[in-house]
Amino acid sequence: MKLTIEEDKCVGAGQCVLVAPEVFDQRDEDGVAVLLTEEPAGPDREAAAEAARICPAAAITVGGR
Amino acid sequence: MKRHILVVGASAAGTAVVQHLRRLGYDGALTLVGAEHHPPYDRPPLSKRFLAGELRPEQLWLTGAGDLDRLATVHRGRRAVAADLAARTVTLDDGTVLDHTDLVVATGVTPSALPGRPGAAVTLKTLDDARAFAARLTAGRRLVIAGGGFLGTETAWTALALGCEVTLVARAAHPLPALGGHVGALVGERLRAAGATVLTGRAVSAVHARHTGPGEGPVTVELDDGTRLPADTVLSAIGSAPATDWLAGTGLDLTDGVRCDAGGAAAPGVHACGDVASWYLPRHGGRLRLEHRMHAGEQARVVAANLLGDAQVLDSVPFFWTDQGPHKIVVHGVPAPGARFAPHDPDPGRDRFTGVYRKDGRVTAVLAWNAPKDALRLRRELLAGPDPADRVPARR
Repeated sequence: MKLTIEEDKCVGAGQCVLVAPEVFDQRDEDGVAVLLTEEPAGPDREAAAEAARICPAAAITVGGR
Repeated sequence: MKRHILVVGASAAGTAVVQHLRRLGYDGALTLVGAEHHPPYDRPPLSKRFLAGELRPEQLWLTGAGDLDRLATVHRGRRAVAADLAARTVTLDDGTVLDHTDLVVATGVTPSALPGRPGAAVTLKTLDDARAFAARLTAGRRLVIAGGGFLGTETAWTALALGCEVTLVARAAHPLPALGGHVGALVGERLRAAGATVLTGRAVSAVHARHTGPGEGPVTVELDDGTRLPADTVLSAIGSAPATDWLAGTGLDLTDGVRCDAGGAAAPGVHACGDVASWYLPRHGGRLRLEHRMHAGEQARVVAANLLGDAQVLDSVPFFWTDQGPHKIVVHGVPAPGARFAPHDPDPGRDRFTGVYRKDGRVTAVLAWNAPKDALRLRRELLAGPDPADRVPARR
């Protein structure tokens, strides 16, 4: 699993931070999501996949392997 | 009859139902009906970054090319015109009759028309609307926006940035009445400082034009106090109504959209989700029809699960955001009518604050102005249990 965030699309909703706090954080000023890790492990993998599914801007991509 | 799930409406909610049904393993017949020819796309950027020319259409698509056709039989450019719940049929505008065992209503909302030559005003609901509108927003053009809600104010900011002369006409005493006087007055103040003319306590009573089509030439916008505003373009952003005309006479309760229980069921074999649906929200203690992007996806997931025999209810904290030019407002919860807003954490030097809406001593919503992370913290403290449990749908 390799995560990417399209910053152009992110609307700063912070829903990814709610479901996967070990994987995502938000920039303080505009709320744009930032990755704490690109390749989450263990239970964080499913949480990250869930975050991608619920992102209101479809800005999170789960790639590869 | 073999199982056949029919989803009417192919925007965020309808598309998500189809995707989740397949993800959950449903392998039966599945049909999706959409009024537009584009792939399903994200609507919130239409008034903001797409209108500003910062996003290409492909960046709005909600599915990959061809994905949808692998998941369902898709009828594009078609609208439902009638439904018979007893016979379980839906009739499309080309006469096609679709038999089904389960119906999902996800037809969204239709923009309300302005009085007097409504054809002279443009609307901003679809991608095609946004493209046509964007072509008219060149520097120096005069734009009148009827409506001071989210769509009207967001569009005002975008048009200002494009160099237009913007007049916003708001019916309430300040823009964004849904957020209360404190935040609404601040938005009005900021819009004025950015160069907009903001007229409050007034409404458009008529649009006069010599031409017949929207956006074809100059118009005169008449307000209910007699003011006449010359303009090149007038945008109708006075609200919208649930697109339920095709369900008239079915026996469904359509008082404020399709009335549903907390799991999205409207009648035997009928679910509804997205802007068109009003669900019972347990934490709110009543029915709510929320036109929020986030809510559409959450409802769609619950509907998909329940169609496959689950018994989920949705009881998450509603969430929405609005980009007011350089200012980002996020709200968790429901700023109920009559709730009082109390700002705290003011940080005037950095132009950011948070605040809380209270009604009858209870916190109903939290808001943050340029402080989205603080809003999440407040949400955790005041509105929801520990994360992420608060957003997993509870069992009925």
